[in-house]
Amino acid sequence: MAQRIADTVGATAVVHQNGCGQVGADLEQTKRMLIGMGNNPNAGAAIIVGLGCEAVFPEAVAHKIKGKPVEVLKIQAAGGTTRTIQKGINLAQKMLMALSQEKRKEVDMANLVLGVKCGASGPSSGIAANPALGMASDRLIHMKGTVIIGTESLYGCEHILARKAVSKGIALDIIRCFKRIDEDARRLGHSFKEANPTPGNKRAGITTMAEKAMGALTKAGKAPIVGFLKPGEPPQGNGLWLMETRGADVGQISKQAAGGCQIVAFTTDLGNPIGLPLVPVIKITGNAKTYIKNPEDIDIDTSPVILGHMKISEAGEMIFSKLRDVANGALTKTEVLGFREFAIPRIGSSL
Amino acid sequence: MGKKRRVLIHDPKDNVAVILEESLKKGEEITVGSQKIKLRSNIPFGHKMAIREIPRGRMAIKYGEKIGRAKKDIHVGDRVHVQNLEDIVDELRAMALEEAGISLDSTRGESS
Repeated sequence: MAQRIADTVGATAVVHQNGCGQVGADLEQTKRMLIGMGNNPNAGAAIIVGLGCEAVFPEAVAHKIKGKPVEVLKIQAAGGTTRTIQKGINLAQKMLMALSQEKRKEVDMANLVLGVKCGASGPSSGIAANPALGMASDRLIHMKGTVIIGTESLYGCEHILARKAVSKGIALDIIRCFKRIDEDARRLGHSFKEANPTPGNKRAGITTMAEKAMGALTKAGKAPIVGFLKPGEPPQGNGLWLMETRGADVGQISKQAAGGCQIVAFTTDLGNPIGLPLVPVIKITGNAKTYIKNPEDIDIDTSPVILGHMKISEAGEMIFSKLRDVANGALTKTEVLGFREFAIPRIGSSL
Repeated sequence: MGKKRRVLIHDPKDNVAVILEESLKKGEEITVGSQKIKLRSNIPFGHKMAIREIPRGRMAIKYGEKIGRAKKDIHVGDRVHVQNLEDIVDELRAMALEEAGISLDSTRGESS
């Protein structure tokens, strides 16, 4: 329904599968993710569409979205699908007309919240793409901006994360998070160690999980970790934040978006086409073959670093420039192709 | 002019280097810093080569950090991968607790 309304007026729909049959932390996460997407600075206004009887009350979500026009549409109350869609179109039309009249204002890079992510990784990720992104990340943090890195790729370097934490409390949160991941896996009769590094990783030369994790960590640069976030939780202040993110790539970047990332920088060795609703995803590779095969899916190619033609710092500059351009309105390749995936991963069983 | 061989060393503390050339063969000699190293096996692009001896039980260092433990003696020029390097994730976990000076079992979560 949301998609139908969005398509008619040229807005963005954030659709998901959850909202009922959930309890506890699982339910809280769904609420938090939806509220987060509504509060994302890239959303100028929001319409919450719900059935009307589900566990995640549309009003509960709408109530927490601040600083912009918010409306609620309930299908049961509106009297069915057709009427809801029409109501939605009318509301969205008004909102978009108003938003289209807003003037651009120049703001400092300190206002930027960047999500950093790596997926479909390989040796080029740890050699070129991630270290280059790390330099751009460091530069943004130096300018008082904010960077969010997810935990998903970092299992195996907890000791370094704990060391980077600015306080013992944060170090403890970090270590507890990874211990939970271990315990959850064990409960499912699965060893996290068995899943990583993947066969693809090993074929490409990554031998141990620690090695893979360290290569992934370089994308966050050298900044200290100023805080630890729950999935989709917004950071309270600038600097580098660590967010608990698990599962497949889509869920992870969805959490970063819900946490308020206006842009996600996604490094990939083998290529990953996913994008997000509301949030532009910049794709970065260090693998020349990947760039040659799918240039339409990659924004930045850092493979010249591997070929010896470019320094990592120069690749970092390239990424930072792209970051600034996208913040100023330049479209990313993934955006233009219209890939907008969103997922709220489950943390409990359905009831 | 001879073709320049290229490897990448992330950190001065590293005892492994990443091969940046395609299809380097056993017996080929490459220059790593001030060392001339002869490959003791074929090493594919992106894979690691030992640039210092790593005796069995000692750690391989990459990015300036321990990444794994040698399962057998590793010699300079050896390919370093699953056949001779084991994952040490559990030990690193223990290190994390020790370095942060915290015990997860303590009721206050503070180091004593």
